[in-house]
Amino acid sequence: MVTSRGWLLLAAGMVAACAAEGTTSSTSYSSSGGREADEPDVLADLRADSNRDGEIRFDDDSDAEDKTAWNARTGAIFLANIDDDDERCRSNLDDVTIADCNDASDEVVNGEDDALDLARLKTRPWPKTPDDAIGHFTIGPETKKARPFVRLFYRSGPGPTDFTPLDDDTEFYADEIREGIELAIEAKDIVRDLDTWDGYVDVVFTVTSSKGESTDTVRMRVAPVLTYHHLLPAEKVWVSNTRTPGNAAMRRDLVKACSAAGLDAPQTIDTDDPWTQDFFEPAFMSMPGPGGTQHVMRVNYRSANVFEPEDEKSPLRPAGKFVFRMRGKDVAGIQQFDRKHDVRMDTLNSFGNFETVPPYEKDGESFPLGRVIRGKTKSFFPDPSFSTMIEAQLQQPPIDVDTSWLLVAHVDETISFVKANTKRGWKVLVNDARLARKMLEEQVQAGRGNVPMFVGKTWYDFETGLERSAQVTIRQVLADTEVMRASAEAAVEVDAQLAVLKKATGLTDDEIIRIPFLHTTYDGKSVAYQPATVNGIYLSDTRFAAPDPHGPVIGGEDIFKKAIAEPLAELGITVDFLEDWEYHVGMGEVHCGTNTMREIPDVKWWESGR
Amino acid sequence: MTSTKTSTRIRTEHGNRTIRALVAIGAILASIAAADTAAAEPQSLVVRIPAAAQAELRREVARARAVDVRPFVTVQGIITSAETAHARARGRRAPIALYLAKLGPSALMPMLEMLALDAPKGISAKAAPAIRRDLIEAVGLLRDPRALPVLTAILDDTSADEDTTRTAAEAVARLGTDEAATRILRALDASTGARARAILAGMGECRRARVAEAIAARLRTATDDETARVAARSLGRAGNAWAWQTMTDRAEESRVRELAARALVTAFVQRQGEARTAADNALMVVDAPQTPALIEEAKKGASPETVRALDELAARFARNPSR
Repeated sequence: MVTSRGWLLLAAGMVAACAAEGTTSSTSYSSSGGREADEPDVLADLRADSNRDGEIRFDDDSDAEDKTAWNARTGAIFLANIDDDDERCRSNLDDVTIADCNDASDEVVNGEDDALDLARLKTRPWPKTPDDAIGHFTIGPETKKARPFVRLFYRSGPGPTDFTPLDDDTEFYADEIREGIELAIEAKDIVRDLDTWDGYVDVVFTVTSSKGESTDTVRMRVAPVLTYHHLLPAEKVWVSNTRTPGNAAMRRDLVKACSAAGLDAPQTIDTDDPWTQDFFEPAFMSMPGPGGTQHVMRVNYRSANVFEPEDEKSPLRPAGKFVFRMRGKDVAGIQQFDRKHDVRMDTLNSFGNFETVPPYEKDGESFPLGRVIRGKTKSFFPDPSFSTMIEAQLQQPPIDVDTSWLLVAHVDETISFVKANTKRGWKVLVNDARLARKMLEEQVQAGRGNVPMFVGKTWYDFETGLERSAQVTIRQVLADTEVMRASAEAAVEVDAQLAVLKKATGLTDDEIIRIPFLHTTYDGKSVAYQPATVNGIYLSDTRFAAPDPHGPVIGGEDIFKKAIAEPLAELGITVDFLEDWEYHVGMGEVHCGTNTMREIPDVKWWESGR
Repeated sequence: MTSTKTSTRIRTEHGNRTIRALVAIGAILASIAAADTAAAEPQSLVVRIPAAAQAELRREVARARAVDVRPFVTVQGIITSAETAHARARGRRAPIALYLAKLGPSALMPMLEMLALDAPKGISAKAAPAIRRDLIEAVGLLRDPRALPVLTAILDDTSADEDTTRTAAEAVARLGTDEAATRILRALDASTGARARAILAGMGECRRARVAEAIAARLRTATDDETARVAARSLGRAGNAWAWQTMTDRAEESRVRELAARALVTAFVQRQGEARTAADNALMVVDAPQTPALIEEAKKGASPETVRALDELAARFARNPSR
């Protein structure tokens, strides 16, 4: 029923639509009522899930108010439909073509699961529509850059997949407008460069007839890709199976740690590349689902590591193809790279150099999904095209620290995060070489300078019988010029990283847990001399899996194990020490050799205001 | 944990047949012969040294081989496997130089032979430059003055890439002798641009006052931020307080650290961005006692922005993270 107040010209809608189409008016029907006599003959009333409740409503105005706006409170959302619901895409293609295949790469709805990934729009059924009325849909001029990136379908039958692509010539006739038209929308890609497309699209519905014209507009935004911060519970753990003894040792210990954390055994990836953390980064996209839920598409970024810059077809790190092997129902793979990026900085493109600071607020600004943290400076930076893509997601604006002093140059070499029962909810773990040196000096002062560390470990052997023992005494370590020089630098450089993090997050000293280990030098840069215990994997609220430091044993206790286990125990976290010496001598540790997919956060990105 | 050995596997280029890592010296040699990698042009890896030095090196190598052939086999074995190790290392740089250096003094002659007489066998042309740098770095870490002719010949090779020049400068610097210092300074004097930066980057490992003075001079006169940044870092290495505490001869320590601090405070005032940050960090590792006074002095007549920055520097120095 309609009342005398029935017709509500929504100013915002009118302005937007007038600007968009240059037509006479933009109308949205107010469901608060109106008299039938006041009803126009021609009505374009297009709605999407602007109130984000997972439904499109015509029985109230919640999807109509401010539907041309997009902000923390209102605005419809759709997905880049780049998963592979019917699993038709091949993963053994070259790097140029491997990413081309996904559900948005064709013009069909690839099954019922695919249909669920399409956000819907609906027009209000309007029985009074004149017989000569014609309806059509366009993309508004303010968002004309969206055209190549967005595909609209219209329902063309009763079945769940009966959708047909909409084109510029598609017209709807009076009987269809009277019954109401259902559209489905997908993005063909995520936002990769805000200058190319910012992710917004205005869908405009126009009805023309001899009795007048009506236009309506809905603004939508494609979901950004979000990475998991460390506090989200792990759901799945991956580790490469490289079939080396050291890899087997680490996997054995990881299985135990996962079990202790209540997780399934880690999924192994059959590859020669042991750096599971580096060649892909799990992430996700989401849009509102029914009942306050989120409809989620998992996403995996492939690292932009260019290993063969001269190979035009397959320049990328081979193991990264894993993201396309995982591509499937509600799982997408993304790669973004410039083959000609500076190979001297290529290591920065590994995802050990891509972590996510947990959520926080500072100075009235909230980051409910956390922020990316990575090694990047003006002169030493990851693939710019990949950075542009990450920054274009807008939700987790990166914090850049200097890792250029490190040989591997990854942020996970010095920094990690764990949950804490504090106002902030988390603390940061950071390397402290000064503390490591002090611990060793104290042992010398106590007359224990001859206590060995790295007992039973070797720097090299190749199973040739040529092994060189890595065992060394505390006194020898403190007398090693290279170790001391590099460790002093590490203490200062990590302090500088921490200063950036403090400035960005407001961290205080009592929110910093200092994890001791020394550095040494190689190829003019810095690497961990001892297994870097900060470089661990946070498996659950109560379990952190760290490298076995093989430190000096004093009174039956490895003092470097104690140095991480005690402060984490105060937070209710048990440390599981994993044998990772083979990784350590290969310039990485436990975190570098593993990866995790985590739970989707309850926080909804669309409420962030970004 | 009981697993104590690191191991690797060598993967042939053709097919994915994985060969178990070699179990004996003889097996290593067999693998070298069978290696199907595209071999580097051997002589492109060998530096030319004066005839007399070459003759002397040949004699020393022969003597070393006669005493014990095993280090030669060991070094060759590591070098043969280096390409695979690099490919599998995080950041694609395995610490081959550290492995080689851990072999100790007996590895010197095998490595010098590879650098100056007979190029290592069984490595691909693509991998050769990085492996050569491994050898140079490892030789430097042994700190044996007998390496000077070979290392300086590499340092003086103006056709070398910047990474090689930097590594050579670092290796010569680590020798730490008067002659080594002289040769580094001579190389620097003859260089400009990227080559000079490469030498600057490596020479901070030589903790001699005249070397530090030369770095400081370049820091003062640098016309670009990149050179300033490199020089600041290198000066930090020369004056690194922790490194000095490990040295047996500390006669020049005070002088080096003070002159480093003086130049770094000046650079901090003169520079912005990454060069200023590098000077800041270097001041912390040098940790010279004169630093607070130098900062106060620098504030005189400085702009308000610079004074603020210097105050922050002083505050950081007061809680120096390296102390």
